[in-house]
Amino acid sequence: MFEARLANGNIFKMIVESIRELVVDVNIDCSTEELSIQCMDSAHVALVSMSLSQSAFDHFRCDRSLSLGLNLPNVSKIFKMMGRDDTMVLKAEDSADKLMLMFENDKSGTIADFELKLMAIEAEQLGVPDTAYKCSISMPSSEFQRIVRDLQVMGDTCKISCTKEGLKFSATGQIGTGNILMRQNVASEKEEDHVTIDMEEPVELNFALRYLNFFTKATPLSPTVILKMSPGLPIVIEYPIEQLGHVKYYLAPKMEEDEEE
Amino acid sequence: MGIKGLAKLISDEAPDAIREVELKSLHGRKIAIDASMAIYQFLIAVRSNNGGQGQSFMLTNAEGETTSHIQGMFNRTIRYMTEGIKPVFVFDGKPPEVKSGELLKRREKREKAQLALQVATEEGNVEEQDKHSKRLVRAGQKENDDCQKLLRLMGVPVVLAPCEAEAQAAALAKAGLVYAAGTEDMDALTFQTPVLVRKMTFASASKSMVQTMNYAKALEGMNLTQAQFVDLCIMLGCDYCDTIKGVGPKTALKLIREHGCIENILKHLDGKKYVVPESWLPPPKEAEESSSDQENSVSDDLQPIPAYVLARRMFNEHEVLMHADLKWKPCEREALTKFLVDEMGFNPDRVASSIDKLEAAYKANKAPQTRMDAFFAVQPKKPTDASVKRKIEPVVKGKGAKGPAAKKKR
Repeated sequence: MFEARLANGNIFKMIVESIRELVVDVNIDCSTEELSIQCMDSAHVALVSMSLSQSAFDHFRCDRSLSLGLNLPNVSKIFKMMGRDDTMVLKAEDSADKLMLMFENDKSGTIADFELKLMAIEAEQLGVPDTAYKCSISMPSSEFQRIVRDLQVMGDTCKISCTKEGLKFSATGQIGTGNILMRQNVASEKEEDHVTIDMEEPVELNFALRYLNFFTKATPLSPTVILKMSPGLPIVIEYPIEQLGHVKYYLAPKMEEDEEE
Repeated sequence: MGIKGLAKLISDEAPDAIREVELKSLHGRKIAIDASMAIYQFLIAVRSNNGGQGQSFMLTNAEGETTSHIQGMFNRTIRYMTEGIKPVFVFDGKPPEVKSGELLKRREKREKAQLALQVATEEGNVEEQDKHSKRLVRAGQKENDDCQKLLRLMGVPVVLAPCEAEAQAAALAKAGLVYAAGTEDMDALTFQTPVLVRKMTFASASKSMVQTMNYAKALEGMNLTQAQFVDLCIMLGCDYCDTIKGVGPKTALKLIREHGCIENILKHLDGKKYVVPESWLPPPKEAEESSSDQENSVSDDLQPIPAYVLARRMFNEHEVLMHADLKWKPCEREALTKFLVDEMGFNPDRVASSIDKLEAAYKANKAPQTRMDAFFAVQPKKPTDASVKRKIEPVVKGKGAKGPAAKKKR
């Protein structure tokens, strides 16, 4: 038996929205501690890892860990019917072939419930090691979204370099070159407006802007975003969900031929 | 062509080995494509039929020379490269001697089709005409030369196999020079390509799927060793020798599992029920010797060698190049335009825009998008928490993929 009640159902809706442009079918893994998702896009370039701790829920019960195979476009359709302030309840039997969703609105007293058929999804799981990254940058998520959107005008590849000067995003295309530099900035009163750069050694990597743009769909989930980079490794773009979970994106860099071998 | 019924047998016995994936998911991979097979397919498929009326004809240039294969090869290669795939085309060398029987059969079929075509033409049956004229298609030396010239101008590596193209493609994949062999021919698995990609030629729109087959998983699923797999393929029916009459895929697999190799099967086979071809029955001494020590039997050419041993030798010791220069170069725009427009009579505007695409794809491939699995290892299909898994198993039985998927990351 799996049962979870989330007072702010909107969080879950935003999680679905943050993934659905990247992946069509996902397994949501339920364990006694958390709800989690790990999946890759069909080209195996980007990886999404989501976790929502059981403490995020008002009520959480999971007797046996299970995996719920869902088709995200369908899930998204159902969440369209959820109101902003609705409470969300998820339910599934241990051997269930369907997931029960309930949206409750206390104010109006309405309860909507849905049954969604589950699918058996065959997906490769990757072992992502917990490595220490050479650079870690925290910045406002809306700012990151703007930079990514703006640079798409210039080209399709973005060079992200972290140096003593700050964090630089550059894109080159047929019309020319664009650079956006961010410096450390902790002047603002609001902590979420801070830009903090924690650098052990300079890093410079190239990424496909198209994917970075997909990742910014998670912007509503968190006021800040954390970028982590190491030379020759995928970048990590993390959107923390309050203290209770995260959506992390990993994106494989574009690299010169011989390094690929 | 290929191994009779092997694809079906694998999908029945080792379904894990086969996956349908989007062409896109192969990006960044080098793939050795069996060019001869591709040319043949283009000659059949790339046709014009005058707006749906009458018989379809191959595309030709002003001199009446066929250009279907050029058109197909040109567009297809650009499409692969746009997807980030790095194609290598492998061409057939001389056919092996043991294949002469198979080739003779094919010639007979072609003659039959020729006759049928005449009948159909006289009757004015367009559908039949179409069918038989497609059966008459032959990829000759000229078509091969044309395509090699085209590919060289496009900057795509070409490998000339000393013998069979699929064997060479498999050898490149086995040596790790490329990721997979791309052909419809199931032979490639018998030649031990780690991965076989099928349905590549016509994976056009981004939706359509290609099929990948994993050699190791196929062996595992069928519970066979490499040598047994080769014997199985020979029993199923390959290009190199006849088969035992009355033994189908199921029986062949059962016999191999039971007896381990063809020699043992022949000893135990019910001679009344099944008819062993004559070419399989040399002096028994020879059979044993050649199975235990192949070196010896090579020098001893005086006595006939059983056909299945020859076939086995074809699969295991095929003549291939172990080194190939796989370099992708920028295309030669002018020479390529000249070839396609002046010699082949293609539309200059279309050629120009296609070459633009080719150049863009080449540039993008200079600093290619890497793959996630290059950094993080694929985890074996089992949950980190084994005890949880054990508890779950009885509950989710009968739900296939759900069981193994019950796991968490990290």
